[in-house]
Amino acid sequence: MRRNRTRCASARWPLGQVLLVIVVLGLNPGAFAMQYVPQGPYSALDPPLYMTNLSGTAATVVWQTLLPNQALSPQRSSVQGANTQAQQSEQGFFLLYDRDEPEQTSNILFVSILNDDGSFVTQKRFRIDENLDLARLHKAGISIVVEADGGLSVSARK
Amino acid sequence: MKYYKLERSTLFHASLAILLCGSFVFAQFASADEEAAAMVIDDGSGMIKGDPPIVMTNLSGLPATVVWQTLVPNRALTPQRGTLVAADADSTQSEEGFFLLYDRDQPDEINNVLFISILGEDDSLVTQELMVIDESVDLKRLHQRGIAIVVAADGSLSVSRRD
Repeated sequence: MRRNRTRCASARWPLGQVLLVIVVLGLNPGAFAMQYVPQGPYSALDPPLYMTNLSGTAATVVWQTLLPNQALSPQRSSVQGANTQAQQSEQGFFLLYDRDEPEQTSNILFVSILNDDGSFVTQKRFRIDENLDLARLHKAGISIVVEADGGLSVSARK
Repeated sequence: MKYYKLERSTLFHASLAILLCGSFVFAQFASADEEAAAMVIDDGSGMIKGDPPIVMTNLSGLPATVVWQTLVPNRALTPQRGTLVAADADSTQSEEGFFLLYDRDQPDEINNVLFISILGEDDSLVTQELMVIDESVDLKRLHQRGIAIVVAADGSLSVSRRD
């Protein structure tokens, strides 16, 4: 009886499959990324974000999405090493939309560089509205560049 | 034993000096108290940055991580501030206040949105409230008294101006 139970359990969770799941999750850190469910009739997508740092020094970059008059997403951040090129950030950015009117998306992405004391060095706003190809944005994501002079630029990736 | 004869004018000047020193010390304490109530930063950018106090109460029975930020629509979003509110906090003043931003030239046309959120252990948002601060608000009073944030027994949030 005892042996049967053991056999059933191992049949349900074969060791190979369990190891495969662990390996897949391990290779994809995004699988553990923070989920965000906005309050109200809103949903959040999580497109990728690519960083380039031309400034010669490491930069702490934070970003958040605002759904005007409705919600502000959790803050995400990354310490971007000096002289990196189009490196995909572990965390993407939240793209918020009304489930009933997904075509009328109106988001503002705030991207900032932080000082050591948590104050902002600079901040850029990137407007996401119906003028952008949302399907493409969801797939290709955005690009953030820390310029050589420490300035910021944000653009949709083609 | 020597006696020094003080002239009337010397006595007058000494009294005046003591009086002035006393007034100066009193003024220093008074202004420090005023600054503690309402810190205002004018960094020359045209935007005034006030830092009114936040008072926290937690009725949920569990510690709560509360974060807040101020948005000036179409202009800026302030850095995120936050604190771990103790399970038994009762009108406890937070170490950091909230940013109140307005145009130096048009202080009466204030338009801020304060976002207050409770974070989960993975930094996800558990709940969020927003408070609109516009020209209907008594700015001077808000500077001095600040706002009250209450984490209710059911874990929800409420935000109000302190009167």
